Amino acid sequence: MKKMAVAGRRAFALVGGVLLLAAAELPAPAAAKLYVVTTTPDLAAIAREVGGDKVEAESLALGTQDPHFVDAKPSFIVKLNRADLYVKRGLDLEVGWAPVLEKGARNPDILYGGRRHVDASDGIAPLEIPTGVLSRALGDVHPFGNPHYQRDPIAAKTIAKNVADGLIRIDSDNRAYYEQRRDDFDRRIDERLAGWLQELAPYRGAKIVTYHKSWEYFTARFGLDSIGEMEPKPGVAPSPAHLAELINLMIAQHAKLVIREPFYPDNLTRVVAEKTEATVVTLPESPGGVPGTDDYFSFMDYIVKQVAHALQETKGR
Amino acid sequence: MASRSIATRLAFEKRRLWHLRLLPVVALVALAPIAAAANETQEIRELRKEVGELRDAVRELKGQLRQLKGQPPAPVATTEQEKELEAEIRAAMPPLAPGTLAPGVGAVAAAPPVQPAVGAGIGKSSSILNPDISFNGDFTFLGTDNRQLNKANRFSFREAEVGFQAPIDPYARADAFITFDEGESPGVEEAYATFLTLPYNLQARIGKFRLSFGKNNLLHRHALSQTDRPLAEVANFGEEGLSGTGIGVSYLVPNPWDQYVLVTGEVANGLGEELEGAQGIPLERPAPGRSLDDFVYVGHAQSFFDLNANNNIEVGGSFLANEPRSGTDTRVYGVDLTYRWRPLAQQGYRQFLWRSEGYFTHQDTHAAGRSVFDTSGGYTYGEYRLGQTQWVGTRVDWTEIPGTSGKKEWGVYPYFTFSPLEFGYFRVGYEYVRSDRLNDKDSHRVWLQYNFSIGPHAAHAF
Repeated sequence: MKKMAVAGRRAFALVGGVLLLAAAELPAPAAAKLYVVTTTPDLAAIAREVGGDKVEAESLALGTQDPHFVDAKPSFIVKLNRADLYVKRGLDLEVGWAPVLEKGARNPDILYGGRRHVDASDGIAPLEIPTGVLSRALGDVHPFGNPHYQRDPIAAKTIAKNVADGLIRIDSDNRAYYEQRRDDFDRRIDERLAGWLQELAPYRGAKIVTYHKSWEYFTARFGLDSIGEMEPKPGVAPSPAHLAELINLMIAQHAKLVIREPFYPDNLTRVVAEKTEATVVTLPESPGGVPGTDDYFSFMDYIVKQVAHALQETKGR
Repeated sequence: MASRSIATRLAFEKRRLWHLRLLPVVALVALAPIAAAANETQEIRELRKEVGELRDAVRELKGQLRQLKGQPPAPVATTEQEKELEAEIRAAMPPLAPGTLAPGVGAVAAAPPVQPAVGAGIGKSSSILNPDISFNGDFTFLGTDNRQLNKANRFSFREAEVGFQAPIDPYARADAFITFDEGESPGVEEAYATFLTLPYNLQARIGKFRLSFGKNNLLHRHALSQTDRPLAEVANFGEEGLSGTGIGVSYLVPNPWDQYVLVTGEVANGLGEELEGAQGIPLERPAPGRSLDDFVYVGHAQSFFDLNANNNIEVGGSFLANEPRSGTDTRVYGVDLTYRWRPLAQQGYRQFLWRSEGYFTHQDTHAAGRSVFDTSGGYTYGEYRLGQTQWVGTRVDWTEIPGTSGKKEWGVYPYFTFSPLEFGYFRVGYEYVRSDRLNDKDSHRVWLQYNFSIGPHAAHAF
């Protein structure tokens, strides 16, 4: 009987403790700005463009980080718990880490279907949707299409629209403000895109190789021809046999540029470049991936200039 | 895959041809009465022109179909004639990718042509309404000089796990894992509902689940860094770790520093049920007619600190109590500490993890003579990721055996893991164990393991 009482008291203490902690919850400080949490830095950069001084946007992944393999750190759960708006790249890019965070965040509105949830891929026409039998025999393939659309400036306009729609959903009083900033972003994209196209126009049709299948939207937009990847299949580490095949392909097709993101190993790209007299250029996956590329326009400026410069260098080889 | 792709494309082209073949007929039938008219209008001339173009397109596509039927799947060097033909066909086909670039200075690129946005903006699940179904297989070989050990010197399909995971409704999700251990009846490793939309930063679980004691105990066997669980964990909770049927509530504690602080409380059926097979703890089932005394109570507090972008620390404290009306009173206290280093700026595949856990156990068997035992134990391991696919690490174990006076075991366990992708890995390890509960105290163990997962298995907790 005594033990039962002890156990009972323990149960009540447990429940009571939890309730006391809940009651003692500190009131959230009055937020002057909407707190936008994004999975990747490109989305945060565009959220700043659209949200202006009414938002504080923060990305969970860094620009230097492989967005497929982000550690689902508990500190991210706290950020999502506080988030007024949650924006993700979608197309299963973050499937390996974001669901754990979303589940733990205790912020139901950021879950799929919630009013604070924005899937930036809504309205994007995905490339490379796998057809036929889909399995891991194809590597770490994305069933809904290639999720690396952030380097296509036209896709950036779709991202801006989705972010603006999300902001308007939770802050309709400032609808006109967000719409005006979205339109302004679209206008600036159109203007800058003309320049970027012009800069890369002399190299239209140039054959390139990338480390991962993450440049398809960029090459399609700017008329480059991606003939292969260092990875034999998405996510699979390069094998000697595949690299030998790739080197032969590059020599046969006169591909003189290899693009890798900073988080991929550089030793093998160097070997391939040496064998093929190609130039290796390291380019960011997202804004902030290299210094001076914190906003979307400087990010695209950097990429276009680096690609143009590298292709110019390789002319005549 | 490539041949299937070609076959799919051929079928697609056939369907296109079938429609196109009809178009001139339909157009001609529609145009016949008008053509009979004395005065041919401009509109008719345009329509006739279109019909002619369509006929040409049909002819070209027929040619392409013949080409495709005769082509090998891999890209091959093409002749100039073939290239021209391909260019013509490509021009006749609707664009498949955004590549129609406006030429010239100041041109603005055309919007990408719309493909069916399958999955874009929807639930992003590999199945529709059905739960995500996954399978994990764990194949091991234990080579050892100690034949007392379970599954010594034999290949073993140690465990097959089938997982079902899906939202139940807008408020909760379900996770269920059925295990088939070699030589044992199928069992439910976990099957629980998580209520995601509770107020006040609360979350609740109902069902059977791994109890929140420490860090390692939360992991399924296939997600462990080593092939077996640490000696101290096995001594306290058994080879499978500690799970229970009950309810749990966790609370994400708000604080002015935005620090991650999670407090969890769980109540489950007694240790007599949960620790079946555990070594060192008497297996006494609760007497019929349960009371609150028979339950096991688990509390866990956890926090996490980002030292900077590349370094972080996670600390936790756990408590377990079970004082059944008959049988052994058990209290276990635990501490855990994890340090991670992962440089994000360059070579993100490098990583170092150091994890340690300590267990402090108090037991009272209520037996005549000595009945109270206070024991402790723990493990520590460091693991370094050499590159995209390789890990190397070493674990060191030491533990007193709960419920005994002075019996100990310790071990050291270096290992190497190779994982081509995150869906499968090979692991080889050598483990030296000195245990007071084995007749032959010293044992050398060589572990070989291959583990694979198929299907959409949700990510594990950090």
